[in-house]
Parts: sequence; C-alpha cells; structure tokens
Amino acid sequence: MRSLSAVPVLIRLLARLLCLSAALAWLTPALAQSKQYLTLNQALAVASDAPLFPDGAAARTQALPDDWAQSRPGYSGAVWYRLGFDAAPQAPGQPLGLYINRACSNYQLVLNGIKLKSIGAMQDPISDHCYAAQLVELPSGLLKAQGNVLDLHLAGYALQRVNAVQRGGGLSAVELGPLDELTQRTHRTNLWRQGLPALLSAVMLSLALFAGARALISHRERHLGYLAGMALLTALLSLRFFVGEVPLPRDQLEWLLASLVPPLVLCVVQFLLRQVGWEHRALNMALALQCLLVPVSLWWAGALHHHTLAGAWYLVLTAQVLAAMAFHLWLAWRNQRKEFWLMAGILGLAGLLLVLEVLTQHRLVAGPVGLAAVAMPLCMLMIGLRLVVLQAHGRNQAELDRSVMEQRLRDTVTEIERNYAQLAETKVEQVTERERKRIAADLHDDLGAKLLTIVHTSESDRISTLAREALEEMRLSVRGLTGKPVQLLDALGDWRAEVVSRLSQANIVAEWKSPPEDIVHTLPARAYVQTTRIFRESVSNIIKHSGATHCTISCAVLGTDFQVMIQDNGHGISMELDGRLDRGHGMASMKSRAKQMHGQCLVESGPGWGTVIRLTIPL
Amino acid sequence: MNNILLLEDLPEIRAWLKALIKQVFPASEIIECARIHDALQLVAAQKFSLALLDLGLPDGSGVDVVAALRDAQPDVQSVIVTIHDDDEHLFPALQAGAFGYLLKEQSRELLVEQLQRMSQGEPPLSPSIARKVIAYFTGQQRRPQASNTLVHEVSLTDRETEVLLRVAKGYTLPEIGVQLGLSRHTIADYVKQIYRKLNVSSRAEAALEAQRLGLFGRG
Repeated sequence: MRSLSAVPVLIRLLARLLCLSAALAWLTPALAQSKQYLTLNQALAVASDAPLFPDGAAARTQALPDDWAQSRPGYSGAVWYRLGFDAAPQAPGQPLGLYINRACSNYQLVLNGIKLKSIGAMQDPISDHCYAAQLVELPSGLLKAQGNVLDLHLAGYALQRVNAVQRGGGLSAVELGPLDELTQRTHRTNLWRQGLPALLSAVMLSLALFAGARALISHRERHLGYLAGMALLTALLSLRFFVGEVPLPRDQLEWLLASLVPPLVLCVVQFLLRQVGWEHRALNMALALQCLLVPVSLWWAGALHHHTLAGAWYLVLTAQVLAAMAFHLWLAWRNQRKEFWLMAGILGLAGLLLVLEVLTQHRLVAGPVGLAAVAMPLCMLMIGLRLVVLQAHGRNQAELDRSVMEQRLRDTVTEIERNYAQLAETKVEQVTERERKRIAADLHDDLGAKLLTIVHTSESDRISTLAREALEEMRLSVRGLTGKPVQLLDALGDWRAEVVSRLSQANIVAEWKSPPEDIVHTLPARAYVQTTRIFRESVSNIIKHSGATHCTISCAVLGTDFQVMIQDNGHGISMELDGRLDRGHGMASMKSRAKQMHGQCLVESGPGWGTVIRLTIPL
Repeated sequence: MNNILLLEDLPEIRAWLKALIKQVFPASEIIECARIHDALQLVAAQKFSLALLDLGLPDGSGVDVVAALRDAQPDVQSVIVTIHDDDEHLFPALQAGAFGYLLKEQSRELLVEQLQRMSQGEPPLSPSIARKVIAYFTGQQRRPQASNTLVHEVSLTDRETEVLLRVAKGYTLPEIGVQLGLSRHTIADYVKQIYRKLNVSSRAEAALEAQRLGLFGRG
C-alpha cells in the first residue's frame, strides 16, 4: 500500500507540469496580440556569407516564420534577412526589446547599420541556439521614428543534415515590444525549453547513479542497470537543449546524437522486459547489434541523407519501444502484478508522447516544442521514484520481517530453554525414580528378608507380630517413597477389600459406605500410605480390643475434605484406661499420622458406647 | 507321584515354607532349590503338580521359571511366594502364567488357608491386580498390532469384566458371589478364567511382538 501512496503525488506533479506547458503555449500568442507589440512577419532574404547585408544582391521577399526546409531545401550556411519597421510603438522612455522565438542555429543582428548582437560561431560548427528564445535590447538612441532597418544574419543547417525538425535552419517572426515584458516572456519560454531539461538531466544523472548503485549492489536488481542506462543516456541527449557550443563538426555531432538513441532503446526495452522477468538471448543480441548498425548505416549514408535515414530508424526504434511497452503490460496483466495500473499509466502516457513526437517530427502535428523531451524523463523519474518508494517499503518490510524473525527466534529460544528445563526435570525425576526403586529393592531384599526370617522363626508370637508389622510398615514406606498419586476411587477399593476381608475373618460384620463413584480426586502416595496405616491400625484395634460384632465404615468427600468414620459396637475405651490403652491402641500414632497430612483424627469413646474414629484429610 | 517344586533362596524361609507345604500336602514330595538355574533344570527334568516360586532371586526373576513351567508343563499351578505385594512385581508373574500369589509375611494359618484354596482352584485377586487386568484388556483392544482373532479369542466376557470391576471396587469374592447370585465356586472359576486369558493373551502378544521385531530386524 505504501508504494502506491507516492503515485498520486507523482501524477499530480506531472499534471501540473502539463498544465503549465499548456498555459505557456496559450499565453504566448495572447501576449503577442497586445497593441504595444509589433510583429514583423516579412523580410527580404538573401543567402550570403558577407559580413553585412549585401545591398546589391538579388534579395527576395520572405514571409516569416521562414523554414529553410521549405524556402531553401538543402541549404546550409548563412542568410541575411532585412526587416523594416517604422514606428516605435512603446511609450516614450520605455526601453524597446526585440524577441525572436526561434533563430536556428545562430544569428547576428544589425540595427540601422550598427552591429547589436553577435554570439558564438557563424561557421561550422555553428553555435546551436535552436531551442532558446532570443531577446535583444534595442537602444533607444539607435532607433529612428521611421525607416528603421533591422538586418539579421542567420546561419544554420539543412534539415537533411540534422536529426530533428527543431534543429533545421529557420527563423521565426520577430517581435518588438516593451523590454521588461519581453524579458519575462523570454525567461518563461527558456525556462521551459532549457531550464527544465537542464534540471531534468541533473535529476536523470542522480537517478542513473541511484539505479546503477542498486544494480551493482543487489544481484537481484541487475535489471536496474538498464534504468540507469536509460537515465544516463537521456541526460546526455538532453544536453543538446542547453549546450550551444560543441567543438565538433555539426555532422559528427548529429551522428553522435543519433547513435545514442539505439542504446537508449536497448535500455528501455530490456528494462521493461526484465522487470516482468522476461529475457531472450536473440533479442539481447539483436538490440546490441542495432546499437552498432544504426551508427554504421548513418555514417555510410552520409550527412545529406542523415535526416531521412535517422527518421526511418527512429520509426523502427519507436515501434520497438511501443512493442516492449505493450508486451510488458500484457505480461504484467497476466501475472497480476500489483503495480500493473501504475505502470500502465506511466507507459500509456510515455507511449502517447512518443507517438506525438514522431508525428511532430514528420510535421503531421504541430506539437509543443520539446514536450516529449521533458515528459519522457518525467516518466522515467516516476519509475525511479517508485523504486525509491519500493526500496523504502522494502526496507520497512525487512525491518518488520527482522523483528518478526527476532521475536520468533526469541520464542524458539524460550521454548528450547523450557524444553530443556522440562527435560532436565524429567531426567531428575527419572533418576529419582530409579534411586527410589533401588532403595525399595534394597529394603525388600535385605531388611525385608531379615524381618521375614524373624516373622517365621521367632518363638514369640509378639515378636513375630511386631516383625510382621514392621515389614508392613516398611512396605508402606517404600510405596510412599516410590508411589505416584493414587486415584481416591482406587484407594477406596483397596481399603475396602482389606478392611472388609479382615473384619469378616474375625467374624465381625462390616458395613462399608462409600461415596458416589463420580469422585475424581487423587491422593498423594504418602497420604494414601498414611490413611492405609490408620485403617489398618483401627481394624487391628477393633479385632484385638473392642470385642465388637459390628463395624460401620463410611467414607465421604465433603467440600475439599475426605472424611472417614469408623464406628464399632464394642465396649469402647474406658477413660481411666485411656492413657495406657492409647499406647497399645496406637491412637497417638494415628493422630500424628493425620497431622502429617494436615488433617485430624478424633477418637470418641466411652464404656459401653463403642468407639468412633473420625478422620478428616484435606484433598 | 505328587512332586512340588519349591524355589526360595533364603534357607530359613525355605525350611519354613517346606513345613508349610508339608502341612497342606502331607503326601507330597518337595523338591527344593535356591537358584533359577537349578529350577529350570528341574523343570526340564521331572514332572510337578505344584510350584511355589520366589520372585527375587540372586540369579534372576522367578517369572522366568513360571514361563518355563507354563511351556513345559501347562497343568502345573505356579504360585508366587513373595515379599512384594505390589502389582508391579505380581502382574508380570500373572501374565507369565502364575496361578496366584502368597505374601510371605502372612501368618501361617492364613497362608495355609490361601494355599488350600488355590489348590482347590480359588486363586486370590486384589483390587489393584484387578484394575491392572482391566487396564490390560482395555488397552489391548486399542492396540493395533493385536490381531482381531486374538482379541476375540481371549477377550473377557461381560461376567468376567463385571467380577473384575467389583473386585477393583473392593468387594470380596464371597460378597460378589452374593451380589451376582453365584456360588463361590463359580466366582472362583471366573477368576481362573481371567488368569488364563491374561496368560494366553500376554503370550500371544509377546509372540506377535517378537515376530514384529524379528521382521524389522531382518529388514
């Protein structure tokens, strides 16, 4: 989106320039109609190299503007024009100016026998002032009220020897008027004809540098080298608008300028094609060959046929450029490139201007002078600006990508660290588990075997029982050591099986009440072991001491607590015996086990009331 | 001919166990050994009617002897005599074909009673073992490599599952008999069937596993 935001600005800029040019084009004749102006559009003309107007020679009347291509075809050299004017139309005291819209290629001016202006060379190479409007101040002291004679010596080349109609010899109408107004008009006109091209060629140079640098740096952007070539060649070709003195015979200069066009076309065509990713070897060869063929053919044809042949070549080259534009747009459309409409706009405009330029050169249309020369660089400039914008956009995208990548990297590192931590934890758990198992195995094999031997070899029942209890304790401890959390439902099954079968074997009727089976709680291994011990102890007490015939065990989950109530109908624990019995009954150890689980174990008993043990453990 | 194999490495315990066996089966001849190696040789050499096998021995696990007996003499009841009451130790032995287990430290009276019951075809079944058996068969149905025929042949019947579920909840076998309206003998038969299926299924699965490993090994 960002790349497109520059487009309206570019379009507005271009539109403003076009408006300006149109306004100037309309403005010029409007000013000329003012009454203060005198337009001289007739002159006596005679071809002569003489330093002054040859009075004796056979001069002929010539209407201005005079285009040598029509009035004296094939003539290269100098022509004297004599213009007469009578009145000084301006207000007294106001300096008078003389404005010549076009004097191609160089001129000298003589007013009433006094040489007023002489710039540059009048011999080959004649200075080139074809593009600049000329202004000469007419000193009031030289002016007469009537019968002023203005001699203008014009040197130029036949159209056959030059590239463009603008460069063929010729003189426009001559205007007289207030100096200050004409000065302004001259400035405006020359700004358009010379200043703007100069500015644009400077811009083209920087574009060439920019694009060239990018082409050199980035392998992927090699096609920008062609844009650099385009800009550079355009800048070179634009020199002709504002550099009048070139120390080179004119024919050679024209040949040189014409020779620059095929490389320009090569760059344009290649740039357009490479941009849509299309390349063809034969075409590369053909375009390169053309760069040789055009200069050679022009050289061979010679100066007299230069214009005709160059014109023909220009037609061919224009056709190539138009074809490349069309092909570029077609491929861009087919590939649905997002900049299609922008390029379509730029290329459509450029194509239109090219056609207009060709028509102007063949005098089929009287187009504004040098419009294409200004607008074509502007088209390139738009492409260049778009590149800048794209690059900025690309850099933003790269920044964004980089920050995204950094974030991703950070996430990945975090994840790896976390995984590593988990792995280490798992490793620790595994090692711990293995160690627990080893300890458990050792306990069983060593301590267990010894206790077992005591159980089965001791003469004393008491010692056997103690050893058996010690063995059970050991086993429970090992389970507490190795165990994973136990589902409360499973634990209830274990307890029920043990409690009920033990009580039944002792001929005590057991009634077990379990909570509903939808409980999902788990018990830590230690809590499971401790509770198992409490159950075991209680059942042992009931069997050994209570004399009960009936026992009710109810388990329930209340809120976050697990509650057990063990009630027997025995003779209970008498108060005075409490202290002594407590030790034997293991009440204290049951209570301390409950406390270890952050729970509590309450014993309620009275003689004849039986005993109730209430155990509460937080889940 | 009523030979009983006794495998136990601790001499005192072995002597004590021998006395226990004599008490339950006065007419039997007891062949003792203290190592897996010796036990395996004995299994190959002569016939037994009952085997009492310790699990943790210096040269290996009694489970190997259970498996060897199951292969060589399928009719022999293997009873595990162990100090380990946890299913981690007992379950593999049951899978290998053990018929039941005795916890060594229990009182002589209790052990005698349990041994008599087992010899009459009433093996013990604790809630945790029952849960393991349930988990085993449920898991097997989901295992892809177990063939359908295997699952079909040795899957538990609804009644067997019912018995297992009740045992897992802590009901004693007599209680379950009352609940289901079945005789103590029938319930014992279910438990025997469960042990048998556990063994058959485990062996078949082990065979499949070996085949699979073998195939992959060759490839």
